[in-house]
Amino acid sequence: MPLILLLLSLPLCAQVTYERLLNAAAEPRNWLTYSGSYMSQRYSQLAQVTGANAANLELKWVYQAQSLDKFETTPLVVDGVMYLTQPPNDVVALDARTGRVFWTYEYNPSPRADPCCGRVNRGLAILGDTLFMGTIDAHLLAIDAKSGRLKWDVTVFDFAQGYSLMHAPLVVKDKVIVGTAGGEFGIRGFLAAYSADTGKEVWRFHTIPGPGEPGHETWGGDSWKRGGASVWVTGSYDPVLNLTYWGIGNPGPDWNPDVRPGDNLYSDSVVALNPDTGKLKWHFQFTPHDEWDWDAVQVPVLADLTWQGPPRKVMLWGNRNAFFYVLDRETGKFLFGKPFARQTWAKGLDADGRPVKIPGMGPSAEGTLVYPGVQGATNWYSPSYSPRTGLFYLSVWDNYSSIYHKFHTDYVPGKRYLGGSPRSVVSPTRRESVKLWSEEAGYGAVRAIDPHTGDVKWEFKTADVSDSGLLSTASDLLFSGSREGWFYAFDARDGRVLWKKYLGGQTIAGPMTYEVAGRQYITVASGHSLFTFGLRGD
Amino acid sequence: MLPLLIFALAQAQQNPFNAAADIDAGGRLYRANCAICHGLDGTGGRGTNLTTGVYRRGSSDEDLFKSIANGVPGTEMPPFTLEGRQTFQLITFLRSLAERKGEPKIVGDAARGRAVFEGKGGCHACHMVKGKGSRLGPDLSDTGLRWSPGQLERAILRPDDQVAPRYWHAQALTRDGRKYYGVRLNEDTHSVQLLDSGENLVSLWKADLRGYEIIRRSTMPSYEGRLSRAELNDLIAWLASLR
Repeated sequence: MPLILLLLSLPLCAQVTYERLLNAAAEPRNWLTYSGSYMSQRYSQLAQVTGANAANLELKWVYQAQSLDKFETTPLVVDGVMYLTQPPNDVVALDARTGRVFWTYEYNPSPRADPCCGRVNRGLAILGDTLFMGTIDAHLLAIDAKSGRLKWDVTVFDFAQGYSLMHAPLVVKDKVIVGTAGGEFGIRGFLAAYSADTGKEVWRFHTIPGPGEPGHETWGGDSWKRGGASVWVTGSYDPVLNLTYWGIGNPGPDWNPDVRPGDNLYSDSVVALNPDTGKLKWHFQFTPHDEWDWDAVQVPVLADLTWQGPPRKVMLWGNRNAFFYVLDRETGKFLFGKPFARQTWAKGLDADGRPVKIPGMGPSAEGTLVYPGVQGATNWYSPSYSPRTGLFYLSVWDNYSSIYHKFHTDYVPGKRYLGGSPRSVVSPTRRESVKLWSEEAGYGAVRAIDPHTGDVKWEFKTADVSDSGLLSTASDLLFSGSREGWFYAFDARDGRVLWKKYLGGQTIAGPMTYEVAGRQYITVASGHSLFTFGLRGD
Repeated sequence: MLPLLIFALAQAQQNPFNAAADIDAGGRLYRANCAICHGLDGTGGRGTNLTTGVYRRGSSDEDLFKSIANGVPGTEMPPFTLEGRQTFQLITFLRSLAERKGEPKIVGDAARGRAVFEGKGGCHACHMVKGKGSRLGPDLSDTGLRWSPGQLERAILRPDDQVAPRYWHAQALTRDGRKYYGVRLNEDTHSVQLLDSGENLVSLWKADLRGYEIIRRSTMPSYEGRLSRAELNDLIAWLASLR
């Protein structure tokens, strides 16, 4: 009897089954996938930290990364244990209450792996007792979550040809799905699923169709062989429709579209795949024949809305090309689209959501000024959707432009294959503390968009642009980092700043939240450290 | 092998890529990689002026090759992973910039110009040279490397034409009535940092301010009519000699 009581009093350390991943939203104390759930709303049911007490948030602990590369991780938390990646490809398990480290798995990628843009990693997936990580030298690893020991290591592709893995894998059922980055090196991108048990490849979906496949005709000549179409961020999954959704990157060479006539499918698209077979159900292309490097490099945010009357399963998408989209995620049908930031390249979207391009806005030898600039009106940093407020939140670069230059680039395996160069006053990454441009050259904003109208319900403008992801909670809070070094809690309903703390470093990651022993914590990477906050006195 | 050979050539200070076509190729590389900091015409901005024919880290082919390939530690100049041929073409283009700009010749007397600078001009009130003077304006200790004589003349006569954001000033009025004025060192959404006119480092919360204005015009007066032509020529000669 005493033994049974003792066992019952131990913390819950069950394995992370597929059923738990399916129902991740029902156990908000944990953060089981990169975006918090298969819906990828980066929304948590936790509500201990509220608008009334957010002013009492205080620092609980800091994890200082042993790396000076960009810290882009979103941690997982499973039953009191946090798992994170530190760049480029170390895995750390620590006590989510104190920050004390249990173990570190150090992976040494090839020193010759030099991906664009940075030796970075964005996170992990978990199934059972196994963590999964992609590496910058294009390996997929399985690591034991208790011991930090390697279980298996498979080569996804030859990194010397420019392939790499940066995003957190997505586990669906018994498979681990990853996609390849490397679109700036003339790769031919793909998504692939691996057996979680053995690492054996189960299927592969090329993001550029090969000869004989539908869509192959959208690539002139042999440009399909090196057309890019990377995968930079984690996809989403709808278990009822049994479809997994992934955003696909830009076609290459980025700024010389002359060598790849056609729409260049499935670059700049979202693809809906059967996760069992990798077969394509539908696709939607945001920017056909992209000339500006505007990847569909966003996490597909799934939401169930009443859409003009009946309930509808939709997908919300703030694209790098400055348009906000609502798609039917069962069929891929375009429902709605509207610009959310200044853009000068398209007159608008037609009835099918295809942009009506303005002639003469492509890159040129002498340079063409276009809004948005090369980093896009938003980028890969995670948006958030709150089912409570019904608002879609994203980080925006507005009034921001680049001058796009075009020139010829020869394809050399493993070398950059860009075909041009964009220039902007606004730096793609934080370079120094002094803000060397004025607001007229571009500014940042957290915006709350009503998905039904595309209208901006509220915005919080920042002097500098931001690369931070967003997190919303059931207590109507919205958390965001910034490039300036601030970490904010907003009222998700109206954008009021309820609390802020200066962390000093640039946030290039998404905040997340979890609970241990009845206490809610909020974690965000800033600079080269991971900061965790909770309410004072806890 | 080719990169090694090209680097050996660089060490021997031989630039084998100096034909007209190399200038064109170098120009394309320049516009793609360098113009954002050094300006489309090479006269500088965030980066140094590259049209004077004299380069801060050495002016030989080898020096320039190293600066491009390795970057310049301690500055914002990053390394560029260009091929050896491209690096040489870029150097050829840089040299063509210096040769064809047709800058006015220096006709003044540097020693007399120094007297103008320190006396009638009152330039030390804002500018520092070799550790002497004020911190409020640009340090002119190596201005001969940064600016051509023509640029120096324009800066003296028409200082408002180009004011880099790092020299913008700001004035702030706090809610309790204190006034601040100085160089805007840094700014973000919530705060501003100044070097005030007394050379004090000041950090202010915007929430505490009743008024705040960024001053983008130069705080330097035009010397048009204040100096004679001869004095102006002497002053330019002195500034151009500072390296």
